[in-house]
Amino acid sequence: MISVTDLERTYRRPRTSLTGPRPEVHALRGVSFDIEKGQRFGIVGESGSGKSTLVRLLAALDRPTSGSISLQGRRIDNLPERRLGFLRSQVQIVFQDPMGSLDPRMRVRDIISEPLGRQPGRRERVRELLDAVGLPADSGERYPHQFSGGQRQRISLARALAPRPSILLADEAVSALDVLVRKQILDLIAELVERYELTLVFVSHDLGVVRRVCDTVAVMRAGEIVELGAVDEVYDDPRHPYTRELIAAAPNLAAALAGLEEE
Amino acid sequence: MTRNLSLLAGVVLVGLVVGTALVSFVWTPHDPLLVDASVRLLGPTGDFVFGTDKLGRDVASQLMVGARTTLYVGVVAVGIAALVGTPLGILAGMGARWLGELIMRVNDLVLAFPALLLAIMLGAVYGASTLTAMIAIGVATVPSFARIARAGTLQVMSTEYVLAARAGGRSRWWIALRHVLPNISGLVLVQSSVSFAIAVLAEAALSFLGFGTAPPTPSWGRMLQESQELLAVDPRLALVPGAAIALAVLGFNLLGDGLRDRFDPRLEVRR
Amino acid sequence: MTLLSVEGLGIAAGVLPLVEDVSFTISPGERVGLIGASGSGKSLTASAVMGLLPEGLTSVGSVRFADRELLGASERELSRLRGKDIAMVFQEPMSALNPSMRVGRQVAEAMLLHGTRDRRGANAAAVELLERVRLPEPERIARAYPHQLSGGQRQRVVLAIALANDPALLICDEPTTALDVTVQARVLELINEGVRDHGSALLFITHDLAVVATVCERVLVMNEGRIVESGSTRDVLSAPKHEYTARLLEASA
Repeated sequence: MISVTDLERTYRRPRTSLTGPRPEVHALRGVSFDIEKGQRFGIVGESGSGKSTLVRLLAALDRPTSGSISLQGRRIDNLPERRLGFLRSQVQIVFQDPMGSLDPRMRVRDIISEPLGRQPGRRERVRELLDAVGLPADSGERYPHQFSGGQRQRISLARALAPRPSILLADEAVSALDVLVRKQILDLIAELVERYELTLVFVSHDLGVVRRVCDTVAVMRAGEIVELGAVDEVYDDPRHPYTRELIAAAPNLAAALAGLEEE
Repeated sequence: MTRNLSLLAGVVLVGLVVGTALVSFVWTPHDPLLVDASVRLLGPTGDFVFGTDKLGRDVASQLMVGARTTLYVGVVAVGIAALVGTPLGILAGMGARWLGELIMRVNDLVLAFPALLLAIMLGAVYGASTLTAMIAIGVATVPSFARIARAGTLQVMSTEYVLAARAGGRSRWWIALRHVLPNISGLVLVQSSVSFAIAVLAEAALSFLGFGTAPPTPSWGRMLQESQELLAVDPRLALVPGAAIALAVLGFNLLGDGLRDRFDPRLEVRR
Repeated sequence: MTLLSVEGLGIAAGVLPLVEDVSFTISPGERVGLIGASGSGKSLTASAVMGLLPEGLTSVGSVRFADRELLGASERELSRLRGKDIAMVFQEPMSALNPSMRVGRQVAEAMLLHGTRDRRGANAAAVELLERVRLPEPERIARAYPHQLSGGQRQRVVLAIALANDPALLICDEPTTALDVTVQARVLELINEGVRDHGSALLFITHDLAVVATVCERVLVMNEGRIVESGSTRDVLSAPKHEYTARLLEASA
């Protein structure tokens, strides 16, 4: 479905001195992986690991410095915007910030139908989508600020599903949410992925969250994938020292409670 | 609550100017242009509320018709500036990097060019009139709109909803019209109000110097100028249009401040 | 012996109640967690203790700290306490630091402000504090500006400032939410160590049950402005009595 080979992305920082080259930041340094249709692929990493850069490249919102990305066998990394039409309906994104990802001046129905253009039957589709993400039917007339964080992520999900994509990219989609709401949205994502037979790419800094929705996980650090495998295997038997560090560092309720028992 | 107060005060003052200008179309106490030597330099009386000038014209009537000139100049000058500056700013914020740089550097050049000099040059070529004053003030105000529009555009372009629109296959035109423009409209509105105040002041200054509204059309700036020689004899003739200018400028500035507090997008998010 | 005693605390925006009838106590050196979802009133409760309620909010009840009533105390009285007897660590370290002042100076200022050290002593103590929160090369970090540090380093600086005057009570409001997992683990360790070494009591606000279990010995669970359950961390989190706590636990598992 998605095939990524030797992907590199280098950003140039603004000049810090008049002479000398502009400093470079290697956001991605040689990333390769394949994602099968229907796979739920998690990408875990801390800030600066390059995971967000990778998402933007997969959505063709940015171009790699070198390497290639193919979608169903078609190279997408070198296509001009006007030839990306097929991708624009197939690949959709849900972002982290529940407020910043919705235009405050647009009604919810306009936000959700935005990727649809002037298709007929938009109203019906919006109603259908609101229902699919569990929002009341009259939500369409309201504005984003009238909704809670979790509801806003539901609106984002509805917008992403509008053009009937085959691939859903989630970039820290539940990181800004409270525990209870996080669980609801994770459950919703899992349900939607199943119902619409989506391929999911789920990016998070939280291995525990990835474990709940994904079957495969890639652990990233400093622009590289350090470990890739089935999520349970990676979690139960981490090979790379960094993966072990990540797992050990994550606060673990059961372990912490066990520690309290001993005291 | 002080915010609402300043907005209210602004609305009242601006409303007063607009109302006066509107009424002057259908009614003024006297013909503002009627010269009558028998009533020269009268103080305020029941008939002439603000008295008469050296030619015996009614000051109150001139003031009312002058409000028209003031608003006319403000609307056209700010209109030119907003209609040219805002799209330029959006283009600078959304277009290629070199284009944005080019627009902003030209912008700096215009900003560095004295508006007064431009007005004098236009006046020299086409003859001083209200129109040349408006164009000069408008052109000189374009950069402030371009700047504020560009800053707002850059902020909107960095949001995730714009990324989502791009991921949904939306064109740059769509993004500019549906996302950028509505979200910077508050900023532009505030800038308009503040620029209006500056334009009112600039028109008065240009007319005072003789590069603006030509006689006999009444204008607050010209009323000031004509009062100059009689300043020692009858300061009333300077005080009346001076106060009108000050109140109008204050009104538009208060309105701008009030609107800023209402429309500041950063405040909006927290609501 | 209680250090902090909150009784019948209520906070309202006009007629809309945000926090209702909140009562709890903290003993010297005790580590207490306050957990709940956003909007549960946990941060407002902490702000009330610090006397930092946002404008337009009204409070009733009583907040007693070392036998002094803080609710309704004068700003002067409160500012003498803040940063000395009660210190606070916020979620966002960047906004808690002055961007135009070197961090060493900011740590030293905290001591100079309350007259706990003279200038020369404060500068030396600042470097020592930065070392205590395990910042590498503390002398160099002391001369850096906040933007030159990473998020985790900044939060350590904030912690150093908070601990500078050996506060009797340290309040942490989601101090690690904005940090990476590996950094979070270290900062939590430092907070634990810091309150132990300085003998401070801790009021730790978070929505993360695993974090609270790592740091606190007692927890208060807040929902919709009320404390719905409280007790030792072990009891509450292994055998929750309230339905809301049970839901939190289920979602965190």
